[in-house]
Order: sequence, then structure tokens, then C-alpha cells
Amino acid sequence: MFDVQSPVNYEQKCLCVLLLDTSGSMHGNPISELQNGIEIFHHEISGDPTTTNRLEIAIITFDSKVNVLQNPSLVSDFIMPKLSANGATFMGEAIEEAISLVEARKSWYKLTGQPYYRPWIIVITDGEPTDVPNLFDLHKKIQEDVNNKKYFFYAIGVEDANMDKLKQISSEKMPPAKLQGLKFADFFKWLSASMTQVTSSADDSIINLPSPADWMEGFVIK
Amino acid sequence: MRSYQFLIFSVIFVSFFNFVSVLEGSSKRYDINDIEVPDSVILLAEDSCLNVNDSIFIKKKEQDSIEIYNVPNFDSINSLYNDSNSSIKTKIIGTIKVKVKRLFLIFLKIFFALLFTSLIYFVYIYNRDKNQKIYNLEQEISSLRNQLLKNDNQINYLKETLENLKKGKSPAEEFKSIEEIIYIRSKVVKEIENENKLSKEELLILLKDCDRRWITLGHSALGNSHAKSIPPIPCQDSFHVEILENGWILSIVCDGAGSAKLSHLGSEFLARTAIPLNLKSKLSKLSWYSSNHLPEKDVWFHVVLDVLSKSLEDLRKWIMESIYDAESEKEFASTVILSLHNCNGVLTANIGDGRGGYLNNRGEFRPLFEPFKGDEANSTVFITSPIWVKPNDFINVNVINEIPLSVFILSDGLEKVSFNCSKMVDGIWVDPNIPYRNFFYPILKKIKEIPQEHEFRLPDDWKNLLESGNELIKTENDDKTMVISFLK
Repeated sequence: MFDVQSPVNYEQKCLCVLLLDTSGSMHGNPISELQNGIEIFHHEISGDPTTTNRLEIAIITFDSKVNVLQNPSLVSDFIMPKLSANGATFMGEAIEEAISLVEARKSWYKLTGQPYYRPWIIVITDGEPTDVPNLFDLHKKIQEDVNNKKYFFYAIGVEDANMDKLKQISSEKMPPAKLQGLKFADFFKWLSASMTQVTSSADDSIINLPSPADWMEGFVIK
Repeated sequence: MRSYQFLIFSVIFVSFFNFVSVLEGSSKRYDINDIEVPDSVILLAEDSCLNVNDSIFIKKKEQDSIEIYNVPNFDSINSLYNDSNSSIKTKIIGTIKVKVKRLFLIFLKIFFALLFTSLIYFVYIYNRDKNQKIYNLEQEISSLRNQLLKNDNQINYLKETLENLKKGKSPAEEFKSIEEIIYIRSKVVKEIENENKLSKEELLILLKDCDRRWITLGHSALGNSHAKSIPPIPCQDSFHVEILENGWILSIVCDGAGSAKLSHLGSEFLARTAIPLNLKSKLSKLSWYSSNHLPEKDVWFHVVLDVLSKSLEDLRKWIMESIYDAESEKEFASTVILSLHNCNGVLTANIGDGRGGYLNNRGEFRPLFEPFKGDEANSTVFITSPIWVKPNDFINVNVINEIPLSVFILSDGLEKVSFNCSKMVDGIWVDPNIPYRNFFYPILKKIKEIPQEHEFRLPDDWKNLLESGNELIKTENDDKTMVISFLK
């Protein structure tokens, strides 16, 4: 057997912004399942040494106000938030906050000259934005940014989420997905596997993710 | 503030109740003097809070005076005064409000209004105080959390500064000019080159008793995430090693695109079939090849261009004839790394990422080529990408006129474990692209020291190394391929 050592290399970063709906309608089971899901996500990531050093997680919650609960940080520096639900659904403002957070982080990456993986913005909601008078403007911005490969934008609808409105803000390349029941745990396991997979060599034009059959409603393996 | 609010509440409620009373009272009011009283009248009190039967009996005594009696029961009046024997005529002329009682009622209403108001007011105050407390606590929690984040950032910053100071470096500057960045990068590369140079003793161990035999090992190992994926993803890497005439050794590593479904087939066809066949048929006609010399860089480039474009055509034909239901050739996307070496030097060609390196006879580890990196950390180009309009930009060739002791090419799954390829120094990211001596030297030393009769064990050792040589290799998510050649 060859007895080799490996050098210390800096892991290039992949930012994942979780935008979580903590409005009143999430109260009870949904919010505790979501909390559980995030804890599973944290656990899954911690089990993979490469992703642990690569994935920077940020958490923004939105109800009647937008809170940045966690600035971009590695799972080792992660402070597990305690989620509670009440108030309205200020999703539009939250998305804008997420986009500016992504931009800020990217400019830091650029400042240091490091290559980075395309950031992710993941919205989880059981409702619809109550603070956006004109969904078209938001859609246009997201569509443009996704096409220009600034970030991936993925909306996940829970229970009575207004899927039509989520579709209106999402990019056509990544339509929103509906969660089966409250399978947050399965969703976050999938997300963790996706975060590992998207960071392998890729052709720009194709995104190849693991099968979401475990959690996505209406998903059929072809 | 509170007493003021209470006052407003009270005024609103009291005036509301009194307004109602006034409306009621004004509907039917009789003045006693206006009534033509026969001998006696009975006025029935109307107010709902009094019993209907609590009536007032007014008896006309003289012209200007009347007697007022409280009569407990209307029926009793009837029985008393409507008696046919009685001389007193009684007439019920209507109902009137009784002022005294109404006043009492108003007070009662005010009292209830005040009571009700206080009740609502206190419930309101209670709720408002509760919400205010909740809000204050939430604010406090969020500000403490922010403080925590700030402290964390501060700690990280201080830790970094401390580490830098310990190493004798000044804290990272916020902004750096391009010249500074270039300077830092070249300084880092030089430092790492020196750190990874073999000592004279180590070099002598490798050079001792050289019998000029190339030992070449190759293996592709499945990446961790590919193994864990459901359904499992096959190993998308392929490699090929072939000993050609005149001491030339050909090694090829192809890494199928992670994003393409059939890339494992693409990389296999290119590495094992198309590229070796096309290259060999091309080389056989070339004089520099048969005379064992290295060509000029542009000559080599045209050989490579010809071989790779023919190989792509073969791939396309093969896809057309195959049973695979592919939408486009992109599903077979693969990178290509090729090295052709002998004792005089190394010829390399590559499309896309991965790494290659060699050890020269001065004990220096050097890169064979620069991997092609796209805008993002994981993006690169493949043989099937639109690179053929400007092949000079994407097909990278090198001619290395140095005596190599070892030559190795690898897919990007192994670059982090075997190359110095990503460093953060003074707040600047650098890719020195220098093979890590503590990875390669132990391998070369072992190949050197193993007795010839035990060399048959080397392929298994090599396989074990790439599958699970150390913790980093074991947990690597990407597929791992390396071909190493050593002049024993």
C-alpha cells in the first residue's frame, strides 16, 4: 500500500441562501417540521468533509418583517436558528434581501480572486407574497439573473402554497416544486445531495440533480 | 396616556347610551296638565326596566290638584276601579315616562357603560401590554443574535489576524492592486515550488541503479457521491495506457461531464478507442516520432488538432450507430488529457480540466499544463463543447524538453489530494498548480524500492490508493483517475 499525504487546499465556496416562510400560517406542525429539516440538512452536510468546507449557508426568514438569521457561514460556524411562526408573508422583500446578500458575497469572492460555485437561493413557503404589488417585475429580475447564471432560484411550495404565484416569480428553467405533505426531512436530504452533485464538473447549460421523487409532489421517474 | 384614553372611551360609551335613552323618552310623553282627566287616570310606565304592572294611579281630587298613588298591580286597579258598582270612572289614556325613574335608569346605564368600558379597556390594555412585551423580547432576541453574529465575525477576523501574525504576515488588506495580486501569486508559486522540491538524498534514492524501465500504473475509482446516488451514477472517468514503439508511452485520461447522462460511455469510447487509434495512425507517418525526438510545439498542435477532431467525428458516428437514445452528443461530453512521453521529454494535450505533472531530474515537481477553468468553480469545456471554431483557445498543448523521472495525469477528482491547487494567502486566492511532493514522493520511492519479482502487486496497491488511500481520497465525491509513469 502507498502511504501518501495530501496538501491543505482551500475549498472553493458554494453559497446556499435558505429563504424560509415563518408567517402565521406555518404555525404548529409545518414550522417544527421545517426546523427538523434544517437540523437534518446541517447533519447531512457535516457528514461530508468536502461539502462542510465548501458550502456556505445563509438563512433569511420572512413574516411581517425580513430577518437575516444567519449570514453566509460554513456549517462548522453555523448557529442553529430557532424558528417561530407569525405574521404576514413579506416574501418579495425577503427575495430582494437574498439577492443583495448573494451579490455582496460574490463581490467578496471576486475581491480575493477565488473561483466559486453558482449560488443557490431556495424559497420555502406555504403561501404567496403579500408585499409585492407587481409580480412581473420580480419575475423579470429573477428570470434575467438565472439566465445570466448569477444564481439558481428554486421555490418550494408547502401545503396550501399558491403554486401559480410561485410559478409567476420563478424562472422557466427551474419551475417551483410542491412538497409532499411536510416532508422537509426528505427535501433537505435531497438538497444536501444536490449541493454535493452540482459542484462536480459540469457543462454550463445542463443542471443534473438527484431524483426528487422522495419529496416532490407529482414527480414521476421517466 | 392611559387616563386620557380611558376618558375618551368613557365619554363615547356614556353619550351613546344616553342618546338612546333620549330617543326612547321623546317618543311618547304626556304632560299631566294637558290631559283631560275624568275622575282618575292610570298611567302605565313604559320603561323596560320597570315591571309593566308597576303603574301610577292618578286620581283627580279637585280642580288643580291630583293625588298620586303607586299601584303595584294593574289588575288590582282594574278590579278596584272598574267595578260596576264603583262610582269612579277610570280611563287608561296612555303611557308616560316617569322622570324620576328615567333619571335613575340613566345613572344605571352610565354605571353599566362605565363598567363595560372599563372591562373592554382593561382587556385592551392587558393585550396591548402582552403584545408589547412579546415584541420587546423578540427585538431583544434578534439584537442579541445580531450581536452574536457580529462577535463571531469579529472572532474569526481576530483569529485570522492572529494566525497571520504568528506566521509573520501582516493582516490581509481590503483591496489590492493587480500588480500586488500578481506579485503575491508569483511569490506563493515560488515558495510552493521550493517547498515541494526533493532533497538531493531523496533524488538519489530515485535515481540509484536506474535500469531505464518505465513502470506505468492506472486506475479509475468511483466517487463517493456517485456511489451514494440513487440510482447510482457509474464512474464517468476512463483511462488508457499503451506502450508504443521506440520507448514512447501513451497515457490518456478522460473525465465524463458530471452533468451529462451518458458521459461514462463518451469518456470510455474516446480514451480507449478513438484517441489511441487516431493518434497511432497519425504518429506512424511522422519522422520525429520514429526517430524518438520531440517536435516543435506548433507541429505537435496540428497533430493533436487532427487526432482530436477525428476522434470527435468517430464519437459522433459511434453515437449514430449505437443503441443509445441520446438527444445530443452533449450527453457524451468528456474532457481529454493526453500525454506522450519517453526518456527525452513529454508531449501533452488537453481539453478541459484535470491536472498533469512531472518530476524532472533536478528533483522539481512541475505542472504539465494549466487546466481550463470556466467562470464558475466547476465549469469547464469538453470535447463536445463549441470549441472547434477557436481550437487554439481551448486545446492546450505543451512540449516539455526535460528528462522526466515521472509523468502523471489525473482527473479533477484527485487534484485536491495530490496538487497544491487552491491556496488563500494574504487574502488572495492562488492556484499554484504544483504537484504535492508528500503525495508523489512516497509513491515513487515505493515503486523504486519494490523488488522486481513483487512488482505484480503494484496495480492492486495503486487501485487501493485511489479507492481509499487516505481520508480525503476516501471521501472524495468525484470520480478519481490517475495514470502514473515512473522511470525505474
